[in-house]
Amino acid sequence: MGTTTRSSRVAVLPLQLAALALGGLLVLPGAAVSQAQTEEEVTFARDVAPILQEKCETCHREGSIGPMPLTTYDEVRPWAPLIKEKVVSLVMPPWPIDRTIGVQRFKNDRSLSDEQIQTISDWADAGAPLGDVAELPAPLEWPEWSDVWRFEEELGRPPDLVVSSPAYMVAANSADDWPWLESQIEGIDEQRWIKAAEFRPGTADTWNVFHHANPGIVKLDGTSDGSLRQTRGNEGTIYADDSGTPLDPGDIVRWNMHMYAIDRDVDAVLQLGFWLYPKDEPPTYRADGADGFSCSQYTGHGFASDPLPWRFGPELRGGPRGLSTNPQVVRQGDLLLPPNSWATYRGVYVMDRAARLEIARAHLHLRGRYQILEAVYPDGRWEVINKFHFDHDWQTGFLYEDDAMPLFPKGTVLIVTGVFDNTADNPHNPDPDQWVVRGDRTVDSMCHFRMGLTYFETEEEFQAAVDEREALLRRERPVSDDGGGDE
Amino acid sequence: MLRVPHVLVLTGTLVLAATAACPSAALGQLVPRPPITQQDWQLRTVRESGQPVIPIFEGWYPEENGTYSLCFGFFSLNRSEALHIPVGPDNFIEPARFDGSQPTHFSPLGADGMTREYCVFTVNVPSDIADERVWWNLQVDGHTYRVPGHITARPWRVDNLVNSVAAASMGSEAEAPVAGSLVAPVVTLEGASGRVVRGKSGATAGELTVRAGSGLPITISVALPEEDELGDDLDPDEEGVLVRQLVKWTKFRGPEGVVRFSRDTIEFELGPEPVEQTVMATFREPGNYTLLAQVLSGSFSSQCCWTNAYVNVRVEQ
Ligand code: HEC
Repeated sequence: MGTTTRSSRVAVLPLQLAALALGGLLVLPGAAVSQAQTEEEVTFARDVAPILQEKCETCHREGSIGPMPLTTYDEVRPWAPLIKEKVVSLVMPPWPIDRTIGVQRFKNDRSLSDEQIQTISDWADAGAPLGDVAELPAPLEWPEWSDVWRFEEELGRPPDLVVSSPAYMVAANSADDWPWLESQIEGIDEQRWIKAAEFRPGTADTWNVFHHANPGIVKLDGTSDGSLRQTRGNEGTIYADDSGTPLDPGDIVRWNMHMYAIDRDVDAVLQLGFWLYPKDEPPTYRADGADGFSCSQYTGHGFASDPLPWRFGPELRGGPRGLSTNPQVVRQGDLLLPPNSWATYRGVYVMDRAARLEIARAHLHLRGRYQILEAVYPDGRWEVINKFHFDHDWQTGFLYEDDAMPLFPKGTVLIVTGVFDNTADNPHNPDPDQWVVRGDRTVDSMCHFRMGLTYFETEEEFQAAVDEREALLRRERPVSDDGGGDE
Repeated sequence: MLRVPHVLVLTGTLVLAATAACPSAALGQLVPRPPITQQDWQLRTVRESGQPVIPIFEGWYPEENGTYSLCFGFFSLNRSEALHIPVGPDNFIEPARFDGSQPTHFSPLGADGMTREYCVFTVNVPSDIADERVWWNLQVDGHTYRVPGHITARPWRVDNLVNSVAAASMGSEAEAPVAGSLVAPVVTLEGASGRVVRGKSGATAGELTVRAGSGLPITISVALPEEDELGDDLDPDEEGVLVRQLVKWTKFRGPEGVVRFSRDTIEFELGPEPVEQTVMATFREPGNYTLLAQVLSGSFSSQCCWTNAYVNVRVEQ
C-alpha cells in the first residue's frame, strides 16, 4: 500500500505542472522533500507523535468525541493499521472535500498534508516503531472540553460571549426529535457585530445525539437571522475581516435542533461562542450567512409548475417571514431516489447581484455522496468551485480564506449538483431497498446547498475586490490556488 | 400505451471526467456507477401523464395490542392522470397473507403542494413479525416498483396518535404548538355504521348505496380526543383554542372511472365542540367503491397526525 501511495504521488507531478499552467489549481510543495525523507526510518517519537498532537488529539483524547484516545504510544500502537487506512483514504481527520479540484484554502482546514499522510503510512508499514523516546514531544495539556474553542487558534482569543442552550434530555431509543428551545443573549448593552460564531456540543456526549441545529438569532421585532445554521460535524462561521452580522440587546438564540436518540438517555446542551468586532468598529459589509438553494428545482419533482423562481437576493432578504434570507424554505422541490441505485439532482441559480462566497456547506442526508458547486461567469468561463464529499456525520461548513473567497459577478450562474447513492455500498444507508423521497426525517432525503454570501452594494465595490484579488494573484501566482480551472 | 422516448443530455460528465483524470482522485469518493437507463430518466420527471406511481414505505408504529402497523403511501409522477391498478398481479402485497388492504386508485400529484399521498393504508403485522419484510408491488407499463415495509429500523418509527416530537417542545413559550394540533382527531363516520375512529390504522364504515350519476352526501364528525387520550405532555385545558383541520377526500378503491367530490379538501377550525363536515360524492360507474377521508390536524410531511376514515359505497345502475 505504501508503494501505491508513493507512486501516485509521482504521477501527480506532471499534472501539477499542467495545473500550474492553468492557473495553479493544485500545488503540493512538500512532494519532492518527502521523497528524500523516506530513506530514513520513520518513528513515532520523532515523526508521528507531533502530527497526532496537531491534527488528531483535539478529538482523540480522554473526554472528547473520538472513540479512542491517541495521545501516547501505548494508546496509538494497536490502532496503527487502522490509522493508516483511515488517513490514506482521507476519512480521518474528517475533511470531506475533494482535494483535487476547486479552491483548497480554508480557515478551518483540519486535513493532513500529503507529506503527513505519507509519514503515517510509512510508519505503519514499518511496523509502527516507537523510536527514541528522547525525541517524543512534550505531551499536550488539554483543558476541559468545556474550555476548548476550535476557533481560538484562528482568532487569537477565546470567544467574547458564550450562550448555552437549556439542557434537553434525549430519551433512549426515542423517535427523532426537534425540541424548541431558546436562550436569552446576556451581556450586550449596545449593538455589536459578530466576527465569528463557533457552535459546539456543550458536552462530548451531546455529540452522539446531535443531528443538526439551525440556531438563529431572533431580534426583538421577531425577525430571525438564520446565518448560524449548523450541523453535526460542523463548527461555525468566521466572516471575512470586513463583514459580519449584528447582535443587539434583547436578541435571543433559537436553537432549532434536530436530535436523534441512542441506546441511553443523554442530556444534551449546545453552545454558541461569539467573537465580536470592537465596539464602534463595525465591519463594512453585512454578511448573509444562510442563503441556499436546492438541487432539486427544475430537474426535480413538483417544482415545474411553481410560479416562484427559486432564488435569493436583495428583494427577498429582509422581506416578510418565509420569503426572507432563506429561499429554500419558500418551496422545496421533491426528490425520488430509486432503490439500489444512484441518482443525481441539479439546481441552478442566477446571481442578481455581485457577491463573495465566504462559507459553503452541502446538505444531503444519509444517501448523499457529494455535491458539486460550479459557476458559469457572465463572460462564459466555467469553473468548479468545489466538490464537497458528503458525510452525514461530518457536515462541515467550509470557511474560505479571505483571499480565496470566490467572487461572483452579477449574472453568474451557480449550479449545484447533488449525487446520491441509495445502494448497499453506502455505509450510511439504513435500507437500500427503499424508495426515498424528500422529507425532514433522517431517513428521508434532501438536497440543498448553503452559502454564506456577502453582497456588494455597488459595482465599484465589487470591482475593487476583483482588482485586489488579481493583484494578489499576480504577486503569488506560483503558489496561489484559488480560482484556476479553465482560463 | 405508446411512450415517446425522452432525450436528455448528460451534463455533469464534464465535471466528473475532469476529476477522474487526476490519479489521486482515487483517494476521493469517485465511485463507478452503473449505466443510466431510460427508466432512470423517466423517474426524474413529473409529467402530465404517462408516468408511473411509486409505492412508498412511510414507517411503522406499535399498536396497543402488541402488534405493529406498517404505513404505506405513494408518489404519483403524473400531474393530471390518475392510474387504476386492480388488486392482482399488478398490485399485490407479499407475503400473501397481508394482501388486500392496498388502494387501486392512484390520484395524480396534488397541485396543492402536498406533492404525494402519505400513509393511505396500513398493514397490521403480528408482534412476532421480527425482521420479516412486507413488500408492496406495483406494476406499471411492464416495470415493477416495489418497496418493503418492516419494523427493524428505528429511524422509520412514526407517530400515530400524538406527535411526540412537537409535543416535546410544548414547554417552551414562544410559538409553541397548540395541543390539539398534535393529536389525531376523533372521526365519527355517520351513516350506515356510525363508527368512531382515530389514527392512521383507520376503520371502514358503510355500506352506503347510491345510483350512478346522482350525488351521495357523506357526513363525518370531527372532534378533539378526550383528555385521557392525550399524551402526558399535552395540556388539554386550553379552552376555546381553535385547531386547523383538513379533510381530504379521495377515491381509494373501485371500478375504473371518476368519483367527483363537491370539495376534494375542506379546511376548518375545530374547538372543544365536534364539527360535522359533509361532501357530495358522485359516481359515474356502478360497482363497489371505497372512499378515503384523511382528517389531518398536523402535517403530512411530519408524519403526524391524522385519521384515516374509509367509507364503502355501493353504486347501482
Ligand atoms: C474533528 C474530530 C476528529 C479529528 C480531528 C480526528 N478524528 Fe478520528 N474519529 C473521530 C470520530 C468522532 C470518530 C468515530 C467515527 C466517526 O464518527 O466518523 C473517529 C474515528 C477514527 C478512527 C476509526 C476508529 C474505529 O474504531 O473505526 C481512526 C483510526 C481515527 N479516527 C484516527 C484519527 C487520526 C489518526 C486522526 C488525526 C490524523 C483523527 N482521527 C482526527 C473524530 C476525529
